[in-house]
Amino acid sequence: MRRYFIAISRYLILIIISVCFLFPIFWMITAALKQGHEVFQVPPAWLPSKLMWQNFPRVFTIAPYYPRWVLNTLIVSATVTLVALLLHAMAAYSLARLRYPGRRLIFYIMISTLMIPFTSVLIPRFVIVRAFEWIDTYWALIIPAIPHAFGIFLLHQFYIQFPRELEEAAMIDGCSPAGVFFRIVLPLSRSVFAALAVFFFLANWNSYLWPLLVVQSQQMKTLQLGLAGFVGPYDNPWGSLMAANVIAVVPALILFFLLQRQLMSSITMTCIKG
Amino acid sequence: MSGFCTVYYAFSTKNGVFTKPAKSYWFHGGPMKRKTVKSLKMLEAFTGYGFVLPDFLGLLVFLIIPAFLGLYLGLYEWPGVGSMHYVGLENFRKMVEDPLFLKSLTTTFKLIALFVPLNFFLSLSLALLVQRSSKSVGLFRTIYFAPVAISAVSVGLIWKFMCQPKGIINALLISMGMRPQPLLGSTSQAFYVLLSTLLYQSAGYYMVIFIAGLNDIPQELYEAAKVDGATWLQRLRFVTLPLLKPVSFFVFIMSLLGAFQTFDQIQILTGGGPFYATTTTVFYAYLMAFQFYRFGYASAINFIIFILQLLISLIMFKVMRGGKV
Repeated sequence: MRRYFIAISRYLILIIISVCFLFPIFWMITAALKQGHEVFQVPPAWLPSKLMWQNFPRVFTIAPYYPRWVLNTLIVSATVTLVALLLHAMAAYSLARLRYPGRRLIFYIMISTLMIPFTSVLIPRFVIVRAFEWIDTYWALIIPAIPHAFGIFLLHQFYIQFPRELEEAAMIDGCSPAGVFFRIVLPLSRSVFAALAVFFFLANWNSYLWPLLVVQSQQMKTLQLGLAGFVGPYDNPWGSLMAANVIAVVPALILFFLLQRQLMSSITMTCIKG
Repeated sequence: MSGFCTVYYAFSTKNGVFTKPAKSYWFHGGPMKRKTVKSLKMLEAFTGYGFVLPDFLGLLVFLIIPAFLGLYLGLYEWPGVGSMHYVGLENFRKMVEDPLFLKSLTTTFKLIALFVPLNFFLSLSLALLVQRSSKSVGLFRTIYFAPVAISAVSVGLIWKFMCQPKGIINALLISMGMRPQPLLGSTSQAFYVLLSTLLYQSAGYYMVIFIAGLNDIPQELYEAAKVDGATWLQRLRFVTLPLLKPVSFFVFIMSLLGAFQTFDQIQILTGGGPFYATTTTVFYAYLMAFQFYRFGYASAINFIIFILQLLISLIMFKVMRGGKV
């Protein structure tokens, strides 16, 4: 009897917390589907009395660049993820496996950069990017987002545990170090790549502060910037704003549901191995 | 964010980080001519440098050089364009007399003092609730984890929407017979709206870390404790919490540095207001640089933030002895 009581109360707690966690998302979606006067109503209208889809097309009239923002964000996130994975894997493999003078020093220098908080280098980084004349271009959004010692470190930990026999076999067959990396090691790193890729992609898809500094024109905005630009000080079209928010959140949530295992393992990697 | 722990780990396990093959790895002696050996060594070194170069350059240009450049800029007065005016340590002296800067420090520490323990308690409780990997609990785990995938901007917008003067929070208060609250319009309440937004987004993230830590605790210990007649609470107190210390330490530092770095949610929810009530030091530095064009002063503030973070991390490290069990 007591066991059932504990089990039931546990589920009750789980459900109550779930409601708290899901409610904001629910409220956003219903607000996007409500008629104007229902959005702010006392007592609150829990469900839209009639499904109103017009908020969604209205997003594109209020913000004609919305599709372009999505495209920009896709381009930036995908490029950063792919290039960062390749470069980090190369650097990590080089530091973990290849022998040359100074590699330990290089490794320690790279890892030490993790101590530098992003916000502390914001201003000088902005000054440098401006000196390159990259402001308001894809370069400013992509290149500075790539180097990050965190990915290098995780991949480094992965490569020192990588079974050596495979590389040796290829080496005996006359493969060069670069050949071994690209033909043997890279294809076998898929599992760790998957975890890191989800992490990188989401981080870039959701990033806001850096684009805020380096983007000026409407057509170069990323999705997060565009969304943030929707809110003015007074009288916001909240229905359309929530519709725009739904369009931005739903792909991230779908990606999350499909790949949550990878995302979890990437987070776990950071704490257990880091 | 996990910088400090990673750096500590990398430096403390000298032999764990590097595997040392007895000789170079690309040849194992054998009947090879000396010339071949030499050229193979060259090839390996060449590949090694080539592989590490792009990332190293990137880190150099976008992190290492900016770190020093920031300190340099902190000694100047500079509106972002035009000529720079050397003022020495004047910027640091100004900080002590700047009431808004001091207020931002208070706000930051208040945020940390509330966020870190609350986040710790919330994420650990969630982890304990959904730790067992049965299917029925898996769904709840996904739900708690989901906000991690949503951007800070989106969550901020939803929160802002809910906290509008006529929003759902006030509608609920009214229908429960209470008075509507100004929420984001009030200097005292805006801070707590910000805090709840941060908790909503981070609890699931740290929950996942705690779950990983919980799963690493050997099951036998719990069984042994059960045999000895330990209650659930005693098992938590004498088995789980002590063995969770390394992970707890990690969560502590990460959430502390994370709270320090908060930007997106502040910008979306309040823009630092009302009357600088939600302006943390990081946000204040942003305002100084990109709203008031005081790049030198902002750089000096950023340097102080960097030192503060380092100090806090070090103190935590000493106090918790690196999270050793």
